[in-house]
Amino acid sequence: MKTLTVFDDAQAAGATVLRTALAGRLEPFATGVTVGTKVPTTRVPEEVFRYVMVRKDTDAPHPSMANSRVTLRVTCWHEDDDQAHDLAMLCQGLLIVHSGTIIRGVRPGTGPLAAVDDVSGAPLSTFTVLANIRPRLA
Amino acid sequence: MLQSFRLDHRGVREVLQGPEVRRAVDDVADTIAAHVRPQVPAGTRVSVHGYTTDRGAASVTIEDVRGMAWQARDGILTRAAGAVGLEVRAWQR
Repeated sequence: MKTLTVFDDAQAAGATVLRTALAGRLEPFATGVTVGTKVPTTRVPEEVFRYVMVRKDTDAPHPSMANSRVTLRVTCWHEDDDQAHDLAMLCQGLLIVHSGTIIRGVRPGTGPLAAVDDVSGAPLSTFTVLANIRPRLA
Repeated sequence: MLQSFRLDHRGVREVLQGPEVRRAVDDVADTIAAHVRPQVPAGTRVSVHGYTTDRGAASVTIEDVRGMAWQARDGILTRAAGAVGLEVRAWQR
């Protein structure tokens, strides 16, 4: 009989990693940042908007269920292009050095790449990482 | 028992740049583009361009200035690539 294993929520785990790590950072561009997993409903730069969104784009469990390879997309909104980039670079680095109970390890994917939010006109920077997820006995 | 192994670099290059790989890459790129098209507003062009480096390759482009924002917000390209079993990474030699 096969062993029943499941994978915990990589998207939520990625957001938790960044929320915890950013709380301890002293860089001016990293203070007062909100981390979530949904597109923000308001994106008004005048409100000093600093938001990091973590989303899971792909999920490829190994047939053995011993590992799942996940693409996490992280998009950072900030008041200006430079701070959006700096925040994205910091988030990318914080994820890459992370190894924990859910996320086994992380490697760079693409970016950070600059863009403009087409709804609000707010600057943003986006990147992807490839994360290996540990299985859990269910 | 393996007695000797010699990699035929010229032969490998020939295969990678050959018509079979060209067709396989174009088919995958077309499938990715087909996944992207329903995600963008009507009339937005999503194009596929084949090219050759040391092997057959292809790009999928959203021909709209808002394309980067749609990727940043909704991940339309990475999700479309993932739907056909591809993992998106920056090109590194």
